[in-house]
Amino acid sequence: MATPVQSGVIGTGGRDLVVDGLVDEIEAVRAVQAGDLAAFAPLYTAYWPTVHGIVLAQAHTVEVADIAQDVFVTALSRIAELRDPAAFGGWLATMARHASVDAVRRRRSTVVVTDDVRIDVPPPRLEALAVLRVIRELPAAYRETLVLRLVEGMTGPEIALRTGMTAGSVRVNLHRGMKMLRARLGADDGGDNA
Amino acid sequence: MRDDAWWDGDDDEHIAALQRELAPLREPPPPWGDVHARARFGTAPQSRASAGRRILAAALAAAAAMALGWWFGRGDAQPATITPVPAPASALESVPVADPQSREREPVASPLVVPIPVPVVAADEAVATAARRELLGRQFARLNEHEKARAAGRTSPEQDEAAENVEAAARANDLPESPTAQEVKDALAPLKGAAKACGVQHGATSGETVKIKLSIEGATGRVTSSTAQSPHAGTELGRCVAEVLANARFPRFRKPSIGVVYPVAM
Repeated sequence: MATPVQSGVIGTGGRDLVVDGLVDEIEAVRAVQAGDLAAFAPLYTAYWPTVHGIVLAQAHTVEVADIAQDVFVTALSRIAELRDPAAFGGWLATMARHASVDAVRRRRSTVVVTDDVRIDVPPPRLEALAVLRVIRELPAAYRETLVLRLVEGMTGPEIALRTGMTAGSVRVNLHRGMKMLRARLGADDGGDNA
Repeated sequence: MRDDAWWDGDDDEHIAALQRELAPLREPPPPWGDVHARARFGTAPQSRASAGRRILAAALAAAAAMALGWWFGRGDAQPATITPVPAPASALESVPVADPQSREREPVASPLVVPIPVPVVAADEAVATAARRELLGRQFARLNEHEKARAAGRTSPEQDEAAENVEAAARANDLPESPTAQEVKDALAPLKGAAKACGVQHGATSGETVKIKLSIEGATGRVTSSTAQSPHAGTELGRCVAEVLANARFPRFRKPSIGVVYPVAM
């Protein structure tokens, strides 16, 4: 499995894990499992949008970057437990979902912070948050896929590849999710966009 | 129509418009070095082959540390002195620095440093902190020497692991006991504006003060609970201000948690 990485050619132990901008993920996972921490760097870059998107679909926006980073640290510390390097994406995605749920639960037990009370948010971000809020109201199965598609800019096949979901699931989630989102955004705008 | 339409169930323009609108929510990854450092100093990955060896090394390190601790602490029967007493220099100097000959002399467990907490009996916290920082500085210097030696291939795996254990312990201890009042103020200052906006939103009278009790977790510096105190407990205004201050981030510290009461004048 090879995926594009924007920059950085990491040579570790004589191996080039990134060649022509493509990272050999399976080799990278094996190298990390063998104790080569630096081999995790291209995986981190390649999978950041996936983890960030999964967390963003649930957790509070101010915590997303921290939680996503925690997911990578945890993944790095537990990578020896991963038996099949090819399953890295699904394994990481599951970890990100659990971390998001934990974060939401932790916050609920204390105090719910909403974006409305922050006054230092620039207007474009406020508009984006308004759309995100609508996406988050959709059923759980759709919101994660929609965030990966619409916020992180991933294509359907990419989402399937990165999260370990089947192509069929992604297709259904995107199709139904977009339909619901369009309907809700249209309703919010007084039906102009419907 | 491109292939993605098959996946999206929508047309290109609508998808592109939504992507543009949601783009401000994208975040670039924090530097890889941050994750690398956290993994290195906290929870480095363990290959299956080396896990057993690491456990053995950790056990030996703990045993050696306990033995050294008993040795240096046995004559110290009088408890109350007001002078900070730093750890014995000999203990701190014994980080396993590369030396091919010493590797033969002391193969596995011997060159282990006493892990900090440094035995400081302190009446004056500032002096004690200074002493601790000095000791930490020396310890890190020794670790740097070890790092150079390791790069030159002059260390054994056991020495490397012992140094890593020491490094992790030193990092964990290189934190203040708790944040200073100024640090607490600095962390909350950026949120004051948003907190005051709650007053406008909920019709507070000018000069009205809302007191918020915050619990802060030492390991993360994050707020774990944020509640308004009487007379604003349970009110919309109190809840609003509490929600804003819950976003504060503080410098990490060694205590498990601390409580802070912060007044916000509307």
